Amino acid sequence: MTNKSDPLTVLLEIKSRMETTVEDDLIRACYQLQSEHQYDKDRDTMKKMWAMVEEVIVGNEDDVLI
Amino acid sequence: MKLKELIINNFMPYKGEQTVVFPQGDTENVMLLFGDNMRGKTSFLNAIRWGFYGKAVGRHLQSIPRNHLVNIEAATEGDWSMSIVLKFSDSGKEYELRRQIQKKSHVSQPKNDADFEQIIGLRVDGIVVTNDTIENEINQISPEEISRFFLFDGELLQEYENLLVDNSEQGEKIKEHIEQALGVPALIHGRDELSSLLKDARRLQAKDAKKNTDLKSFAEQQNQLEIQLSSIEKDLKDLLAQRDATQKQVDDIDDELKNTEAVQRKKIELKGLSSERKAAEKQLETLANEQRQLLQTAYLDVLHSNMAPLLETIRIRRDTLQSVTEKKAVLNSQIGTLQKSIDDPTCATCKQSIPDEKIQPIRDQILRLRAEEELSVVNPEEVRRLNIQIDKLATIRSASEGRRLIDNDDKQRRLDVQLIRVQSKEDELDAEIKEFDTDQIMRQRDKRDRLVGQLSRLNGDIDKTKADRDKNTSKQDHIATLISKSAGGQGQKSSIRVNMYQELEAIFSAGINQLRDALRGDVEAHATKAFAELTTEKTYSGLQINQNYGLSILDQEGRVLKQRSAGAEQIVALSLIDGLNRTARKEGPIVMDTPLGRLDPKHRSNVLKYLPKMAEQVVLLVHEGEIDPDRDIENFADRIGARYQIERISTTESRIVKSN
Repeated sequence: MTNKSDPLTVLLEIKSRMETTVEDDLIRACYQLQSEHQYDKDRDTMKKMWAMVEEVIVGNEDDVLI
Repeated sequence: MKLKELIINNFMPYKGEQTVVFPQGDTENVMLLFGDNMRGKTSFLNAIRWGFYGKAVGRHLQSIPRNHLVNIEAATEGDWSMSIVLKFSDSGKEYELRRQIQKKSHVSQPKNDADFEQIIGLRVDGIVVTNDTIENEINQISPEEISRFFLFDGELLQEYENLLVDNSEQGEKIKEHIEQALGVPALIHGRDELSSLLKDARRLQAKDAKKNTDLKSFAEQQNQLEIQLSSIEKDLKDLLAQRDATQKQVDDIDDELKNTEAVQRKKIELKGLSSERKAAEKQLETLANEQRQLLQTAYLDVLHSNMAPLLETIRIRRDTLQSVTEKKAVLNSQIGTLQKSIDDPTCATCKQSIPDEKIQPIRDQILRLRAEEELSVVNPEEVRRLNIQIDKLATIRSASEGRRLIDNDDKQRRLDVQLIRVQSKEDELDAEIKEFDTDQIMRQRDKRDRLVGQLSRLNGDIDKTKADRDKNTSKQDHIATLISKSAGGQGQKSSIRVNMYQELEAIFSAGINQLRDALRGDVEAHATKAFAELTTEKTYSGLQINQNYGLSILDQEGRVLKQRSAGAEQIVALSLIDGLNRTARKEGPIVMDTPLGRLDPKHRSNVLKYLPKMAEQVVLLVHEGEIDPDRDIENFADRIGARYQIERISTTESRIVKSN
């Protein structure tokens, strides 16, 4: 497998190209979660995805308040 | 993952407990299991599959019911239990997986899967794993979705040809499995979940926007679009369900037709024979009519052959008499002219008398001519009679009836023989297909054609509905962005959330396509490398991958080869499998059932040399027609770590024994 066919590398490369505000760590965490559970019979990753995004939003809010 | 041991008990043809130990060496990594057709090679493959996933499959990857999995001999003796134990290692851990089914105590004769209870147990490094996590644990090591690439039925290799056919249903399924093996689902699931979370986030944003007078109309539009989207998604779900159901019907008919392929062929042959018989009968009828007509005038042909010489003789006689008559007339005329000269011996020009000495020769001449004239005697009656005879005989004409009758006889004999042959063959075929409802088979073929048409229409509807869905979500995205950028929405938590999900979803969506392109490039490169070693045609420049992971052969000029043989297809399919295994995220053994069936000796030799390099552990289930134990083994003798043979005990029982 070459580096350009590594899914996480692909996601981070797209992120930098799109110039979005999403942090690399959030993309990394989302991918990690999906990668670990991609072959699960009963996937229950959506709640965890939601929680990760909420955590970032709340964290950003706190930063603004401080 | 590396297989260590398989213990089969009462599974399909394997009665009682039978153990197979897989080779563990790094170089001696090939296991050979020899077995004739119908002895249990595919059942061995299914034993591994069932051990891992609780599923054994037949054609079209359809599940085999549990009551068909229990060895029939054991069941007849009242033992309705069956088990598979798989020992394997992965990432430094030792696994022992046991899966067992047994008839429920209250059931006397199991008829369906529910009549059995399943017991499953897993130990990792000797520690028992709780039941509810076993399936997930197994799926982490060896996901079921990608099992087609390591539990591999060689007879289904031609399925990979479907990857070259656009919109092929089977090709789509294989493509999905390929992408699962390559790890694309992580991004697909991510995108789908983010899309779902985005929907919720938009709803919350619309709710907030509703409270703001400036944004109320946006909120209203967003609500309308969401209602539309729900309806579109419901339609799409229904269409996909319909397509699956229709495809299943097609697959079922294909299975049914596959089993009656021989009957269908015979039915078609029978149709051809019937036409041949009708044509022969018609030809015979035409010949009989012709024969009757020829017989009516055949006597003329007989007479003609006898009368022709006589007619010729009479004609000659008549012609001779006619020339004598003509000659006599000429003589008479000459005599008359000369007689005039004697009767009046005066020159017509000078009016002088002709002297006597000149008259005498004229008299002599007259005498000679008279003598000649007297000899030319012709009886006019004879000429008339001869003419009458000639006229009568000339009416006897031949149309070669005799020769034509003989020719017709020959033709009739040949047609009679042909007819007997055709009728015997018809009777033979009729007897062979008597017990089959051939009309039903033909009806099923028609039904299949109709269903395929229906599938094509459904695919069109699905594409259209997906386009509607994409259009709707794009509108919703646009409105959500307008709300986020408006004075009332900017900085709102609900807008920040929508933005974040929009961005994440866009990244994952774009990631899927970019990853697919990169993976296709990797698969193509690996498959081309494998192909170069496998093919005997060294002028090919490589393989070219398409959107569906289908591989085309490129000739020396880099042009796609339009036609390829069954053997070439198998080589390309093996190259694809190799490319996938090298690109895939999960490494494991390869178990191949009948992988060399369509190969010529040179390709077989290349494949046998290459197979040990395809994976850490290679298990080949072959018959002696594929690998000749005396001749072919030398291609990779140093790589063989274990060798087994399936021995026939009876039609319903086989035994696996270690061989040298």
